Amino acid sequence: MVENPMYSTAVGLILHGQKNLRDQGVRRISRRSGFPWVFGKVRSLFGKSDD
Amino acid sequence: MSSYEEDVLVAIDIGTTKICCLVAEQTEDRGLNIKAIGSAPSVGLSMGRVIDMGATVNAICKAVEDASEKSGYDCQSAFIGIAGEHINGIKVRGSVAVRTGIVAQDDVDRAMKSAMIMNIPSNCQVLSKIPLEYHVDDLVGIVNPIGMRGAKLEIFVHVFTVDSNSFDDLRQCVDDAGLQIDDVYLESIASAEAVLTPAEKQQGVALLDIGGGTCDMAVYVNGAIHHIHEVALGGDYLTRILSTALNISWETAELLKLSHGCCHEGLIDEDYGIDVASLDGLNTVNVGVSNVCQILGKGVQNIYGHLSNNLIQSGYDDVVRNVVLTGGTSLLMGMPELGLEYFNRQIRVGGPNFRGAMAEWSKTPCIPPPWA
Repeated sequence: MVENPMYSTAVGLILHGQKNLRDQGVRRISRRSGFPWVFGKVRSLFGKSDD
Repeated sequence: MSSYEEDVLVAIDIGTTKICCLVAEQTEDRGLNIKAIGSAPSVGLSMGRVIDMGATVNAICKAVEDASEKSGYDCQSAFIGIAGEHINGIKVRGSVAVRTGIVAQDDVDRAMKSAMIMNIPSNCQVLSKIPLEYHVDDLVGIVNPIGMRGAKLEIFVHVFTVDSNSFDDLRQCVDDAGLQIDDVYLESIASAEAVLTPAEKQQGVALLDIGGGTCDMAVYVNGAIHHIHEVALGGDYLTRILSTALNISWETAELLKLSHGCCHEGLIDEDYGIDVASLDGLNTVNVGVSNVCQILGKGVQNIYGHLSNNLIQSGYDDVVRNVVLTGGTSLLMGMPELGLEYFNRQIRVGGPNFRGAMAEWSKTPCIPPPWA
């Protein structure tokens, strides 16, 4: 377990998301990809993903 | 969609100096396993407002790409944080008759609806509404009234509004970066959820999230958020005054702050000189650590002074028992020691507890001072 004050906000947002998931069942669409860098490059080049 | 996908969460902290994308998996015991932290310098924001949409979009893309590469996930949606002076908190009250004599969810919903009948400026929209407490008849301080018997239900709500244009600009940047938004949340409350203990929130605590460009203060009393305030002073401000006072470049001052920075003279055992590049980069300048410490100390006192004055003006000075520091700038040596002298309260530096592959990597975010 690590305490790092630099990431308090980001972790807090994740905790908020976790609560949302539990309370409201928000959809999750972050998919595991075999070629994650490809999606990142596409996003960088064209601004938006292709979905 | 598989259950595996449902357990992945992505958050983006869009700060003034850096954009941070965090990918986490939920563990079976509802814990969090941080898979990756991606980051990129932020140059398109000022005080929480987007001032350069293209630069902001690029920085979001870079941070997300970084996190995607490290985690192996294709991040397509995320929880986003928002901060800035354009966010206002208003406390409102709603009241309804309890229909069946026992408070039900419907009564709570109607009470909330009643509270939300308020005049919101045309250029603002509601970001979030947080119940502070409920009253059932004469019984006050109720956290959850459902199932309680009574004739009248009152709700007290903290409503946070945001400037519509700033909000839409930020959403547009995230959209242009190819991400869908799961939800937008107030950053100061997000930090508090990650750092503060329930006991601290109950007793009365001020969380000072001191980042690069801004410092967000969130005040909790009786377990609920009661006040937020933001000042446009943070780590960048400390670097700037160091750069000006020593007549060195911003980059040299930043390195000096990270490598030898301290803001409390009591922590320096002996004074010694450090050679740093002169402004023109052709020579070196010898600066004493105690001089650096004095300059940074004055800067930190200025930040604390702004926050202390706001605590007094807002009427929460008497109820705040503890101060918790978080954010990257809270890592500067001497911050809690100087804070203890300034606020005269229990003070600690706090961060979130998390596990995962990136935990060890993230343990040392900056170069520690030689005496650390």
